[in-house]
Amino acid sequence: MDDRELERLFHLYHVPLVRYLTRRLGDRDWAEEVAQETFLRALRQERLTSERSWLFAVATNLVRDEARKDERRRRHLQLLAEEEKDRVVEPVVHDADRAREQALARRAVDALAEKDRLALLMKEEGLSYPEIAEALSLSVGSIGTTLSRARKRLAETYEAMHAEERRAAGGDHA
Amino acid sequence: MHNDEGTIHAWLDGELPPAEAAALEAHVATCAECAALVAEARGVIAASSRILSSLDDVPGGVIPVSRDVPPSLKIERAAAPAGARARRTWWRNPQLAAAATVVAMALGTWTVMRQEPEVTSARVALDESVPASAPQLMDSGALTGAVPSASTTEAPKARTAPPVTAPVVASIPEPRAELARSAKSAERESANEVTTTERKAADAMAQGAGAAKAAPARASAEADEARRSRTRADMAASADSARVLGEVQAQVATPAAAPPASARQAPKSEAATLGGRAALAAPSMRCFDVRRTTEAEQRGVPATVQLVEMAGPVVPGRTLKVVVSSGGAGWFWERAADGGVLLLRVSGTTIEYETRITGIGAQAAVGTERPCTGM
Repeated sequence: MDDRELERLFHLYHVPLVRYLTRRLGDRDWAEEVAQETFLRALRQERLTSERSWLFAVATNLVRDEARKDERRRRHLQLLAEEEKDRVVEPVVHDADRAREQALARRAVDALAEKDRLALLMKEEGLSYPEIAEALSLSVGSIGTTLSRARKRLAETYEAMHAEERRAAGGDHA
Repeated sequence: MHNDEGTIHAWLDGELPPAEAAALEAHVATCAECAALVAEARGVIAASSRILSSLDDVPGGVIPVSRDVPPSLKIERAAAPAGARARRTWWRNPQLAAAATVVAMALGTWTVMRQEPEVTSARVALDESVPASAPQLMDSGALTGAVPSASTTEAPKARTAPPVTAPVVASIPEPRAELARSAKSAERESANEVTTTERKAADAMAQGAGAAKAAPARASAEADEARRSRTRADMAASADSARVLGEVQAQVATPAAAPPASARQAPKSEAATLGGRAALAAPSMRCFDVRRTTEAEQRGVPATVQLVEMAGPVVPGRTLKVVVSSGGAGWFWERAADGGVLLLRVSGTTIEYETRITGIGAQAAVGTERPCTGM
């Protein structure tokens, strides 16, 4: 693949791929890095037949492989990150309600089964059912069921967390 | 025969073959149980999209994973796109609480529909606190009283939309080797391009100077457009927020599978306009099929949209309203000066992407609209 073709791919897919990875990983820098590695791997390909599903599949596998390889270390780093966040990283001053919503959303997404989560995130980036099926090695016929289950569980989990939080807040005031 | 949820989701996602979609649609029109399932699925889809969109407000560097990434993943860290870094700053803006509202809205709707799935004609009875993303069922008459635009009665089937114009972003030249540079230049390129069309917004990241030229000067007789133009100029001058990554044109087409005739009613009232100022007694919405260019599709422009007459997030100089769609998150809409509709993907106060749906004009909406069923 030449640079021009790579550029075409980049312009078409960089934004959705980074958004997908950011939602998946919760860290934009990491998402950018994985996306770039994905595009570099694409550069090594002669040509891609299903380019969008290929890119999303490779990105997903990069994340998965790395996670497998270093899960224990990553947990440790996340703990360090929590500590470091207050000290080093730009202070988070965004709205408290918004932050709370985001935290709930993150927990709800993390609570999904991996396959459901990936399918849902890919769908949100505009991948078709056949593309999702190809990227995740699933049958096309199962994608509707996978997505319906993922969406429902996500909304239910989020709603339950919200309700729980409201109850807790109410209890605090009582 | 009733349909399972997976099939219903596939239908709402536009993934069923036409024949199967038509059969399902016909069945749903006559089966209250399935109609309730469809309503619930629509609510769940909207809710999950909104939940996911709230994940986009993520700063980089929170998890120091990059320091743990294999060398192969560390490429060009130092040259990470400046735009990516800049994007992080928007969410510091304390004004931003709108996305959370939207999430709550979608969930509220979904909850209502779960509790009362049989309320097929009760949309107008929805409390205003349970806003307009309510899944649409058969009763398009619920639009009564707050129909945007000057459209008249019927909803004709075939209004020929203008041809698709050449995608702007896809043709960005200037080859370069570095991916990071490429990302950055894509944004710059977009900023340059926005100066060349009538409704270009400013690229606030472009250090102000070039951006000021891009301030739109839309002529319009509409009162609120004057306000919008003014605030856009302000926005450009302050070089603070909007960033248009690209602009393509999408077309509006009639749905592939026509909804049942009973649902093909047009909005009944012309009392309100989409100017954004009309105080609506209840949120109204209009639904459209969007025929997308490849570029628009890649950018995640939803294939179907419900344009809800309800305030979206606060973005300086813009009047964003809520979009409910079956695919993609973070989309909002705005009425253009000429009566057309702009679809915008918004992240905080940053407009990440903006596209225009041609064919929806002040006088032309009837030709492209569809009932809010079967989306």
